[in-house]
Amino acid sequence: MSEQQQLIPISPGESLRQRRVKKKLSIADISNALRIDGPVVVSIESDQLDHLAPIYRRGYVQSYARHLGFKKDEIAQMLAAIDDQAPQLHTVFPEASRPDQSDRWIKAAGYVLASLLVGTLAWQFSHEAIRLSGEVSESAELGSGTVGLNSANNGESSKRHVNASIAALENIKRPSGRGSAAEQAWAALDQVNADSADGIEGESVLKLSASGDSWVEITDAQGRQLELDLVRGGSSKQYRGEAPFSIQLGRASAISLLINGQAVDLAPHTQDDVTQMLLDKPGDEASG
Amino acid sequence: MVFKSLRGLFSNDLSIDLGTANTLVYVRGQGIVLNEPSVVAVRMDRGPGGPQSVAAVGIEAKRMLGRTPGNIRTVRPLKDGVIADFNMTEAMLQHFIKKVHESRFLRPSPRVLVCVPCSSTQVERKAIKESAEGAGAREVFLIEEPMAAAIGAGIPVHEARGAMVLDVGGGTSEVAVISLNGLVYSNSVRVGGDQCDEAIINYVRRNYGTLIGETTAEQIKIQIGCAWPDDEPEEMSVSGRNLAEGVPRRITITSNEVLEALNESLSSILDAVKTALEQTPPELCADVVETGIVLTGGGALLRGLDRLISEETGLPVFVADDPLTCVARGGGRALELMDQNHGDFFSIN
Repeated sequence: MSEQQQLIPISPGESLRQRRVKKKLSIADISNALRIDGPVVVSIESDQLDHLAPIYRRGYVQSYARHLGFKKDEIAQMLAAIDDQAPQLHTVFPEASRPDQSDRWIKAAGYVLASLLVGTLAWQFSHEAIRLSGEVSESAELGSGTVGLNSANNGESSKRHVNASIAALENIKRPSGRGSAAEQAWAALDQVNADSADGIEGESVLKLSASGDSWVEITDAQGRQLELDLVRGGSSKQYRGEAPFSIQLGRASAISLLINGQAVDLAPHTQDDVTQMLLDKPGDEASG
Repeated sequence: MVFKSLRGLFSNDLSIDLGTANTLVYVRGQGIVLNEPSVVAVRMDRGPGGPQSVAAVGIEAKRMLGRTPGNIRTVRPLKDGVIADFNMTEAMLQHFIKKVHESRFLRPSPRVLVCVPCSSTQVERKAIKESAEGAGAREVFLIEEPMAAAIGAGIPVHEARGAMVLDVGGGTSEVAVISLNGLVYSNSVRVGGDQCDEAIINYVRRNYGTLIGETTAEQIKIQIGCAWPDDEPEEMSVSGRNLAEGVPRRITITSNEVLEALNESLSSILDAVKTALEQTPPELCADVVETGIVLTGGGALLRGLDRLISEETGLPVFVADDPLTCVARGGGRALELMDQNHGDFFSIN
């Protein structure tokens, strides 16, 4: 064997063949020993196993080499020469590929965009709500001006118009800001309301202002429960009903009471800061 | 649901080989990232019946196996390839999923493909599915172990050509004939590495009057275990408790003795292979004669197993490269293919 021939690396199949010949073994011997068909042994020796998957190619070469007594490192060298790229998996039947094979970052961007959209909508909604409440305040202010003008000029007919306006406006929540134009408008409405109530025959108007939280129970002569609740400090309420009123105040010191515009002295009917009284129209006597 | 899918964006798809002996996790795009024993150590703070908490999982728990004090017990939550302790399996999976996503800010919610024995019942499969969902998986797919093993070994499963695979695991051995991405025949026998360990323990007790532990038996199997007689038997010295004297003693066991111990287990596996060949349709049988049988799973590492099966069946038998990880790798590749194509044709219910 020439030096040049020795330098050329030989294929796994060729080295197996050379070793077999050297050991004086036939193809049939190998076939019997390894349980491999004769033609397959020939294919191994001629390195023509391309029709088989790498796992089988490697398996055949490994078994053959082990049988012929190759060392472990020699076998590893032979196996390294075999392409061990695993076969690509395929579907057997044509499958529709997914329409949205989007990358996870595209999905993440989608989530971010959706969040932004929801956030924008929420902001716009709240902004719109604030704008609408501002418009309501302005209309209330405008309404009070109209009422004043009408009540001054037109007498009885204007009062009916005012009552209708009040009924509609009472459904609107009062703004909480103090000293604002809206607050002044509501105060004007209350005044108009009180004035208009005076005109109703047989009914008295009771106005209650609380400087602190107090339990309040008010029942009129007809037995109607006008109030049965905790009245918060800083609020004022107005009730209409037929006198005499049965009144119970849990914290009399925090309550000031007006009946038809006249102040009611609670002191004679108060004991331990709790008032219990029967309040008649001004001029009539109140009993504790 | 939305949060789960959002979290899923930052989680990797996993293929889990939930084995009786070891659990392997393959992360898509990363490869096998976890290979730990399927063992959980449970601490019982107020004695038996009291509240339990997981003390250790995986390698740490296995180190405790047979060496625990009264308040700690080690549990193998899987038996014969299926769940024996649902809560412990869930805790173990949760631990492993968290471990492979360790550096993440959000709690992971990956898509998980779990490999199950082909003979597992619907109840057992549902238990595995629920267990994985309970551990945080947002979507769970199941694949039969022989199919995953074949894909992992590199068998072209999509071809119209029969291929036989034998997966010898810790609790079960599965044999299957595959063609056109499906299992033409599959069978599972409840014989695997665990039964081999048990057989070695029994052999040593019967012949040497010495009791050895599970870990020692496994070491014997790994170091000198064989399925075909050696011309020059190997020896190994191990310690155990002498049953007559009650004191520790050292004994020396040979590889041929181990072969004798494993005889019964190996016969069961061989019977399963022969039955599979009998049941396989003739056309596919002819393909198997040409391509042979591929061995996967930890049991394939038993020296001479390929030779034994080859001699008994008259077919060429090959051991796959890195047989321990074949199932997990195959599961990972199946997950990729399922993702590429609309439809989960590998997965089962």
